[in-house]
Amino acid sequence: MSLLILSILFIATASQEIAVQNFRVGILAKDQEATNEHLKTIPAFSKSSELFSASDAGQRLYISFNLLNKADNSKFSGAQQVFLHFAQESGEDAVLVANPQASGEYLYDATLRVASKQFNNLAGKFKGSLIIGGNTIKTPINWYFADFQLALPTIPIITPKSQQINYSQLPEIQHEFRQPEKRPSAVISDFFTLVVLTPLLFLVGAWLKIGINFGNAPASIWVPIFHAGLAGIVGLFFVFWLQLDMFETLKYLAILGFVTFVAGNRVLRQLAAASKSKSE
Amino acid sequence: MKWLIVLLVILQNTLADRVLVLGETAAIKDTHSVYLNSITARGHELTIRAADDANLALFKHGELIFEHLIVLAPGVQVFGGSLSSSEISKFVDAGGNVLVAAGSNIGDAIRELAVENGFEFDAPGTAVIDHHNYDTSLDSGDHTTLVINKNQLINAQLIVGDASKLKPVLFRGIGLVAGRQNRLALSIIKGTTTSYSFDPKAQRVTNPVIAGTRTLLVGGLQARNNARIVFTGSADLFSNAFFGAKVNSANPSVQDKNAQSGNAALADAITKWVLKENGVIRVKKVNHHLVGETQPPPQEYTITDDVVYTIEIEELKNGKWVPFQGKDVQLEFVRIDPFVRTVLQNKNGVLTANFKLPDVYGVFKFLVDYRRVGYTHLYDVQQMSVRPLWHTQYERFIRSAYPYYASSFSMMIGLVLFSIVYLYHKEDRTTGVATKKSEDKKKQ
Repeated sequence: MSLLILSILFIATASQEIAVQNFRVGILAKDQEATNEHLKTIPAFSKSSELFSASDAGQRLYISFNLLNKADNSKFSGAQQVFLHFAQESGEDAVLVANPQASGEYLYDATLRVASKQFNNLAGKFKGSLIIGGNTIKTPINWYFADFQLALPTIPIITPKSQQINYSQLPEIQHEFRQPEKRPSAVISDFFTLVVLTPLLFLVGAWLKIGINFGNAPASIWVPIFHAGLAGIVGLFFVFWLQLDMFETLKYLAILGFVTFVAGNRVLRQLAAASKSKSE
Repeated sequence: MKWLIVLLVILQNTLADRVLVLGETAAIKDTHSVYLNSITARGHELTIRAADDANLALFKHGELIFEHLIVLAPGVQVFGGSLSSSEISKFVDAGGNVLVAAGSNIGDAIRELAVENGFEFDAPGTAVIDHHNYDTSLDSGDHTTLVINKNQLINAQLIVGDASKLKPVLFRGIGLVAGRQNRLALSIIKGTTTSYSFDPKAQRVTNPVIAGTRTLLVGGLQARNNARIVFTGSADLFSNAFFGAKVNSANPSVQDKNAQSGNAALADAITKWVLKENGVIRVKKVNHHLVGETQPPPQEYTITDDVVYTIEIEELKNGKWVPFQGKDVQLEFVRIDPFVRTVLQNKNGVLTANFKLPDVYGVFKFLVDYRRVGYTHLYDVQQMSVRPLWHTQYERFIRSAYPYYASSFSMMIGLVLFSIVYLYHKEDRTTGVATKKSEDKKKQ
């Protein structure tokens, strides 16, 4: 029998309905009094259009309210969970506890510097909610009442690269290739090609004008070999430019050079001998 | 690379794994029989012991005698035998996987084990309380029998299974938080915004250590050696009672009334992940070569070469290695820092990337570092040198350089002609150009 009464009592207490009254929110300066002109009263279960913003860690976050028992409008103090919940866009959140005062009012009043201990190193924009719950409360309250912009002091967490764990896809990287240097137009380079060739034409022209002869040429097989060798070396350089690499060129140059050297030696010796005999 | 394959081969061969299950007493065989039978049914070999059994051991002659450890003994103060939290850490270091379920009567052994792994349980005697999301029929009045919803689960199908099909899950136990330094921690099941951890008998919550979504109901991590560890505050989550229960959430927004609990499905999914039945991937083959070839060059690449990189990745599914289908694997071409990062195109487990090597020479690495929530960490490095152009590989005929070419060749031709003229020209002193002209004048 007594058990039945107990259980009835339990059901009775478990079905208490509560209401929030005189819900006041404000950001106060350090020594400012919590009067109504500095605070904004938000009607229960509506959302304040005002953004409560604090830019200095010395400012106070002030929230006070009363809890009433709906049945007889008496002050209600049986709530176990009286939380102010601050959630960030990212889903991270912080929980502050509103404490009952002697007057029966619930109050949170602390400077941001003090509050930052509860904020888990979060700062910036928050959605503020009031959460009331308890074993005896029939309909718990979870009321999003206002937005906050709180410049809480935070400690930046720097993670060394070796300890960073990245679970997501990283941005793509395209290598930026070095751009080739700008070159002059084909017309200019072709023009100057012709310009640098004119001295050779001038040389040949001038020689023809003054009249050249080969009167000194000794009658020797070494003469054509020497000049063919010299022309061959120049020709080899031309082929080097066209297609050969240095090592192949050196190989051919060794043969050509040797022949040209021997032939040149013979030619010059004959020329020297001839001029010597003439002067004698 | 090789050791990774070796490791994975070992894992594959030991799929019929030995699991040590520790309960507070042997009664766990009855209270959690459905759960334990489901593990046996998947081919694992269970050894069920009391947590304070004096003959417990994880190693024998330095070798693991179990691949996995499941601890369903919340209240154990000191493990029996050679078991201790440091021994279990050694077990994890050797590649063993651990699932730990605690409760409000949590003992020192479990708390210490959690701390070793970067998690912290709340004090004994506390419980996670949520006045908004408790079960109306199973709860005893202190709102500690919670109903977990889909949105509290981590977004990883490999760990929690298909969340969209999951029924509400029951939870009763203690809360935990991930350590601030624990960068590997995964919040497998978070608390709701209205949840908090405190003594359920307290008249008023004064200063909760754990509250809001920071509360973890199930937390886990995959260590750097791919060993998996999961901590949960509720051993009841795995119990027959909760597996078979009907869920009635106090939250009016939950539509399912009197629905079968999703505990069995969730416990199954989490256990499959911990026991490495899910989310295990390995590299089968790696190749890279020039476009149009099939083998890597014998020595090195040249800058700006067009290169094809191919990696074959396999995933373990239902005990078989099948081609991996992920589309977000990235290749990096790294010389200290990445020069190129590109997504590999997946064609039935063969992932390829075509790209042009940067115009910078040095020792580079083809690097695939694939780390996703739920999957084992895949890391493959292929080192290759990239050399600058040979002297013959530069451009040879530059239009704007033709004046230089022309002037050099005109000099050379000039030399040949000049040598002939200089050597053989016979200057007639009396009939030079000047005198010849004057003679011509006289004749006129």
